[in-house]
Amino acid sequence: MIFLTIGTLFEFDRLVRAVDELISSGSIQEEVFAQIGTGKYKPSSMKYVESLEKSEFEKVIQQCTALISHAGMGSISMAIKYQKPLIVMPRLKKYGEHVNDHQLHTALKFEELGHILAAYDENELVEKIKLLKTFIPKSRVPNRQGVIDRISSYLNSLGQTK
Amino acid sequence: MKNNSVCLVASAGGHLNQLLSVSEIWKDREYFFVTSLEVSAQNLKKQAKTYIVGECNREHPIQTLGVLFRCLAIIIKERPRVVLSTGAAPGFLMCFWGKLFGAKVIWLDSIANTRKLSMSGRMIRPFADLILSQWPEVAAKYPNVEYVGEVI
Repeated sequence: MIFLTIGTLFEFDRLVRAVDELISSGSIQEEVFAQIGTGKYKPSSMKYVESLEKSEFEKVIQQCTALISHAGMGSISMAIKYQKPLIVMPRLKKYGEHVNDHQLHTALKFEELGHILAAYDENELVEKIKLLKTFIPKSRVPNRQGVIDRISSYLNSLGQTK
Repeated sequence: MKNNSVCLVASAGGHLNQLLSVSEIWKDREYFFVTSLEVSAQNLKKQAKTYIVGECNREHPIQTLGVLFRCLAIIIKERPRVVLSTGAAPGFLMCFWGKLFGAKVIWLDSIANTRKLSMSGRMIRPFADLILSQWPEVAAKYPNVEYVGEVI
């Protein structure tokens, strides 16, 4: 099962419609389950829900074989955590899909690092979907401890926060 | 009397994932959560007091006004010692009110911002007590922004 998710923000009908059309045209053969938010477009070729509670969301990610999503860090971080191949399509300001174009930069960066595939418009989706099955996302080793130590030492310097 | 608590603020989705991935920071401290949506609050409520303030951004001024006042009410009620946020707009509002009421402000800019600080991060920067970017090249652009690692 491929999981399509557009995140908790405003609608992203452009992506939902594109995936729905790829299913009806036969370009996507696998079953797709979608989380579509509050968009007006209602898919005809796939099962969908508006939103998922955080733990259910994580459960679906674990069960799916691959992901298609907006270029939000919620989806990208989950794909990295569970080593699922992911195609992102960034939300763009010009279509009113986000307040700025930072998702474009997120997509470019994480694509360059080999963690995800990216489609920069609906037309690029078809090609990327062909790659999805064989794509092995590069694993990531974050220096989380550096962040934890810096913030903890700042809190300790304030005293009395314990 | 000011409390000793740490106020943890993150919008639903990636912001919250990033905040929770450093939960070691507050395990021995007094804390409460502020998030944007009910869907992300269920697990938080099991751990600590959790406020839901709604989602907002600069394109929705009326909604933002509602969040602004809800954030103010929380700050007045809780008087946290520290506000720690990964964004987005509600995180900025909590930091803003927190600072006015004497809290220290810690901002961990989302890893989504690969080229410059987020809008909220840029607005917080002048009065943040500690501000971190998760990209060295972003941190290098601002005098008081540090890079010490990344959480994803």
